[in-house]
Amino acid sequence: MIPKALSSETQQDSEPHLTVNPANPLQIVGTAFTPDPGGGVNAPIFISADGGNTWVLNSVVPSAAGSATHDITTGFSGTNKKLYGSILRAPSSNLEFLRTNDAASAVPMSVLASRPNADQPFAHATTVKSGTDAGKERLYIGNNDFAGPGGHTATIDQSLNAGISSPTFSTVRIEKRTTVGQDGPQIRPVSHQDGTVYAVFYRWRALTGSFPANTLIITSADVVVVRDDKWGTGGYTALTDPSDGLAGRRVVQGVSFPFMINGTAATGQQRLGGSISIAVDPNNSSLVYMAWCDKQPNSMLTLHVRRSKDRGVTWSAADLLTIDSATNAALAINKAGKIGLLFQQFRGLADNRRWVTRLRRSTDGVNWDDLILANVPAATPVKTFDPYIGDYDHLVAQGADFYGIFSANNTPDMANFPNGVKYQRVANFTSHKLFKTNGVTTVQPSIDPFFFKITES
Amino acid sequence: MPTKAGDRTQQARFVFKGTVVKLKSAAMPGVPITERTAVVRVDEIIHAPEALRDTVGQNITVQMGGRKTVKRGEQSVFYANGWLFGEGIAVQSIDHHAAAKMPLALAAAVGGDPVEKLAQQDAQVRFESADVVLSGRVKSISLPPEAAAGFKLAATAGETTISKPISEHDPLIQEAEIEVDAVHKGSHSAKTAKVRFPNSRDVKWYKAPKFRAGQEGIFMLHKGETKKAPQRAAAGMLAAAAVSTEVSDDTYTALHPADFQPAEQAGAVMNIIAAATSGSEPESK
Repeated sequence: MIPKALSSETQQDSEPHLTVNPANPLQIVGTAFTPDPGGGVNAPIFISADGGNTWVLNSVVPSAAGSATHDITTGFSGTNKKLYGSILRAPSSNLEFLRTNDAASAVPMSVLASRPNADQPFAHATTVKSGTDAGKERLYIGNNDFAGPGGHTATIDQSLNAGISSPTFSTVRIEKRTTVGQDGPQIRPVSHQDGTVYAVFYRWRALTGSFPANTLIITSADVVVVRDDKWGTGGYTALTDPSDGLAGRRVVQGVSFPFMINGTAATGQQRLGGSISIAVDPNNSSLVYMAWCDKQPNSMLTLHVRRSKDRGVTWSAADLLTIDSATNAALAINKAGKIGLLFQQFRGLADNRRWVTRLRRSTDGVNWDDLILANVPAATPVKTFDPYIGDYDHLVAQGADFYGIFSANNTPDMANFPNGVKYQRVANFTSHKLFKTNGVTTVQPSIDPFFFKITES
Repeated sequence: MPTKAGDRTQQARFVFKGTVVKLKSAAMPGVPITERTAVVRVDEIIHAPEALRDTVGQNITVQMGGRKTVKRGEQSVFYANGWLFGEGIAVQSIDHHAAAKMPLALAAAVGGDPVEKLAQQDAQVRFESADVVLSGRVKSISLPPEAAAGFKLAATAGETTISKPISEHDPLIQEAEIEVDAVHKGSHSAKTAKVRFPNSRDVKWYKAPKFRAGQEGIFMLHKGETKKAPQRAAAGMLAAAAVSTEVSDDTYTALHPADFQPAEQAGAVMNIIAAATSGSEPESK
C-alpha cells in the first residue's frame, strides 16, 4: 500500500486496520502506525478510490508533529462517504472519536469526543437500513477503559445517531464479573442489521510475573461474548451465563497466554497478548463465529475458532479450527454466509523463521480452504518498536467479497507472495530490491501494510 | 495563518523555494483541483522531512492557504506541510511570499542537508522550551520508587489484584542521574540532576531518549510536558510525541528525541547554546 512517492520510506507500518464503504465499495480506508511523511501534526490514513488498486496517504488524523497516532481504527458507516475513527491521540493518548464527511478531504477529521485513560479503541460503524431509525448512523467503539470502576474495564462507547452535528456517546461497561483489576485490551464489537450487537473480550481473572521484565502471564482468562438485541440500548445483557446468571457468556474459561511488553526472537519479534475476533452472519444474526488465542503446549500461541447457532447461548463443543503458533485473528462473513479467517502464523526452523499470513475460508465451518497471502522472513527487518507486525490485522466482507489488510516484510520477492502481489513503490522483483523513486538508490526492507481483495463468484 | 515569521517556519515542516508551473491544477491524480491548487516546481529546499528530501526538480501540487495568490512563473518561498502522498506529492501551504522577500535568517539557511536543517530547528525549539539545558554524563539508572511498587503482583487466582492498569503502552518510566559538567540554560546548582524517561519501546515511546549509564552529551530537560505538549501539538507547534501522567509536573523529563544530543553529535546544539549565550542567531551549517 506504500505509494510510489514514498518509495524511500523504511517505517515499520504495523498494526493495520481496514474499512470498506458499503455505499461504494470502491472507497476503502486503511490505517497503520504510519507517521505523516510530511512530518506535520496530522497522521495519515491510506485511501483508495478504485477498490484497492491504488492508494494515497491523506494526513487528516489529529496527532503530533512527525508522529503516528498511538492506536487507530476506522469505519465507514455506509452513509455517503462518512468515515468514523477511534484513536489514542498523540501526544496525550486520549481516547478520541473522529469523523469526516469525506475520507479524501484535506480537512482534518473532527473530534467528536475525548477522554483519557483508555486503550486499544476498535471502531465499528453502520447505518440502520429499516425501521423507525432508518438512516441513523450507529458507531460502536470497543475499548479498555481503565477508568471503569471495580476493574470493569471492558467498555463499549456508542452513539446511536453518530451522524448529527454533535452526537452524544454513552459508555457501557460490558464486564459484569470480578477481574484481576482489568480486562484485556481487545474489545471487539460487531452489529447486524436487525439490531443485534455482539462483542467479545478477555476477562482477566489471574496473572503472575512482571510486565516490565516481560514475564507476565495471564494465567486465567475467560473469553466472554455479550449481546444486545436493540442496537446497544439494552446494556448488553441479553446473553447470560448459566453458571452465574450474569451477563456475558463465558464461551471458554480459564485460558492462559503471555502478555508481553516486548516481542522476542522466539516470538518472531512480535509481542504476544492474546487475540480475539467475532463475526455475525449478515443473513442470520443467530449465527456467530468467534476466534481467540491462548497458550497451548508446543505452540507459541494457538488460535481457536468456534461457532454459535443460537445467538451465543451455546457454542460448538470443539474447535472448528485449531491453528498453532498463530496470532492476529480476524473473522468476517460474506453475504453468502461464507466465513473468512485471516491470521498470521510463525513458522519455520531456527535459522529460517517466517511470518506466514493466511486466509482460510469455509462455507460450512467444517471444511476450510487455505490461501497463503505472504510468507516472509521473521527476523528481518529488525524491529524499531513494538508491536512488530501489529496487535491486530483486519478482514471485512462487503457483499460477496472479502477485503483484508496485514503488515509484513516488504522484500520484493514473488516467492514470498505465492498468490501474487503488486507494489506501488519502486521495486525490482528480480534483484529483490527496493529503490527510491530515482530507481537507482536502494532502500532497506521494512514492514509495509498489504491490502488484498478476494472476489467470490 | 501564523502571524510571526518564526511561527510559520516552525509550523511548516517543509519550507522550499518553488516556481509556479500551472495554476488551478495538480501534479498527481486524485487531488481535488480548486482555485487554490497549483503545480509548483521545487527549486530549493530550506528544510524538509526525510520523505520530501529528494523533491528538488520535481513538480508537486501545492494547495495555498489563506488568501494570497500566486502567478504562473513566479518564484516563492512556501511554508508547507504534507497532505497527499500517492503517485506524486501534494502539500498544503500555510503561507508563502515572493522569493525575493525571504527573511535573512531563512536565506542563510539555504543549502546543506535539508533534513538536518529540520532536525536543527527541532533542537532549537526544544532548547527554547527547555527549563534546563546541561551537559554531563549519565551516572546511573534506577527505577523510581512509585514505578517499582506498581508491578508487584500476587499470584493467587481469584484474589489477584493489580495496583495499576497494565497496558502495552506503559512508558516503563526510569530515572537517570546525570553528573553535571555545565549548565547552559536555566538554573541548576546541584552537582547531579535527575531526569525521567520512558524506557518502553512501544510505538508510543520508542522515539524518546533511552538513557544508559556512561552516556555523555547535552540534556534538554523539561518540566510539565504532560500539560504543555498537547497544547503545543494542537497549535501546530513541535511537541513531544507522547506524554505520561506517571510523571509529576515538577520532575524533569526527556520525551523528545532532540532532548538528548550525544557528545559526538552535539556540534549543532553547541552552536545553539553559543548563539543563545551571545544573543545572536545560531549559525547554520
